[in-house]
Amino acid sequence: MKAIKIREKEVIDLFKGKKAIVIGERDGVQGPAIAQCLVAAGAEIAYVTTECFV
Amino acid sequence: MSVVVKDCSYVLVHVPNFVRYGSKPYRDICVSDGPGGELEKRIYHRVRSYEEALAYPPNQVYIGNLHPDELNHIPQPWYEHPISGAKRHGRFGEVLPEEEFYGWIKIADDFDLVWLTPGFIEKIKERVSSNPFLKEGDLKKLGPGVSPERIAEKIERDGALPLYDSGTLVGSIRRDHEMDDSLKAHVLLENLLAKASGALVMHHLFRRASLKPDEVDFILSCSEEAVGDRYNRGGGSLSKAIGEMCHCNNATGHDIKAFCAAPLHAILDAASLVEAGVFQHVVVVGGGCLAKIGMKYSSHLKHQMPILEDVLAGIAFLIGKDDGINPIIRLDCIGKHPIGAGSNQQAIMTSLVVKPLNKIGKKMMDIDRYATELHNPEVTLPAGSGNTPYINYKLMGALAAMGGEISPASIEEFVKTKGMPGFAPTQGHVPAAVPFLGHALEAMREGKMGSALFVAKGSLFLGRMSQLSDGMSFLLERNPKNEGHKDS
Repeated sequence: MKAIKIREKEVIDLFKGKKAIVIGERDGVQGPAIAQCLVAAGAEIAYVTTECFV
Repeated sequence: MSVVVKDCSYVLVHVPNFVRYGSKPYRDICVSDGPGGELEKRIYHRVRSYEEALAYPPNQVYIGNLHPDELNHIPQPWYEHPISGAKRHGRFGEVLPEEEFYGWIKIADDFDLVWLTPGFIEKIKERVSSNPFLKEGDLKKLGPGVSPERIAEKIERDGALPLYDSGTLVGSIRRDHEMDDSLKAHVLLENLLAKASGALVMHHLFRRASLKPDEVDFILSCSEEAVGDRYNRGGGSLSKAIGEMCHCNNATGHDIKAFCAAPLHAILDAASLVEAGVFQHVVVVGGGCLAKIGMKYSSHLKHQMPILEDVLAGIAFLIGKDDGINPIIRLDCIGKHPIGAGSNQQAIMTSLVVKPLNKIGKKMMDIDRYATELHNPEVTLPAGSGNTPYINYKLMGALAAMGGEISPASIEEFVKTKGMPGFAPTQGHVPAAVPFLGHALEAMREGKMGSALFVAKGSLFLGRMSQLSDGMSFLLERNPKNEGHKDS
């Protein structure tokens, strides 16, 4: 249990102080979903979009 | 009362000389060395002949001469394994050559936007006249033509776009307002090509369904264009324009916009109108999309392969009251992607597949086949865009595994038996599951298939008004009253 908590802390700090530009893909992972993960990892989202490549 | 899909049709129009006007090639040519420059020459070095496009296996599947499953037995790349003796006409429609399509474009033009030279009109007249769908009144619209000098002047001084046949200038399309982006030549060309190819596929529908145009009550266009003007961009209505060209004198209609999911929205709207008793015969029609032509040309050039996005595609469906023969649209099993469902793929697919089936007490494995977005992977993979149908089928298989219906080890088997290879041109709305509808319709009429779920997504976020995507699905089932064809 302790080890898991340490990993969570590491993840939370992974993008601390970083700004992120997020480009998602319609059939893969969409932009807002990636952005949510990055926010959870401490990032500030500068721009988020999803593109369609077909 | 039940609602059925009474018939459907599919056409392709080979448009090699319009590849330069697809959105991506057009923009790239403009910012590189311009028309006639090196990039345009490189593109035209890789554009296919009509015979090559005709014999391309996915195109033969699209017009109904092959079943999608047969692609599993043709080695890839398919463009190196053409179908021997490929036919122009298939069970569902045809592959129209460009020369003849020029006649359709001119006939679709009610505002003298398109000028063709007298010599070119003479060249195409006989072939256009021999088309069984075009009547004397239509053919009169070809007119005598306009001199090459006047055409050259229109292009030089008035913002008209040149039109070519085998690389030779044979005409032009003009703008209809100096300051209106919605009426500039390139946009009008997009709209006109959607109208002309939409009319072609609708004529095929009437012939297949033995339906008189006057019997149509309502038309829903799910084409990808934005007909309108500066005060109402995208206002429409292509549906009535196509209906007029097909002599549907008793019909009205409107256009459905939902990005790539539009055909499914339109079919469900049509089915609802019939179910409610508002209209008896509703036609859903989608004309071809010029903007998507040559979209991935640069990857195709990089891989030294033919530019495969060289066909406009058309789709048409006739929705009507239960006739005891044709397959039923289960209006109690509609899948939608609600605003609050979230944007991850699992949430989307659960909304479109699992939830509607659960609503009528069915499991995923109860359904015979799934049709998802059937983009031809040979077009998308070289561009790094992935194999869309395979990705979607794999996710569906994973959902079946999560539901305990199959083991995780059986996901590939699910993909193989419940899915199919992509075979549709990457025309946006066209691959939206419905290219399989014709094959499903025939299999269900013959008692060879019981059910198929049609699933498509739309990329609403591309319009920059929302980060949301969209999706719709519907279940098609063999008509239980079709006693003539029991399980084979």
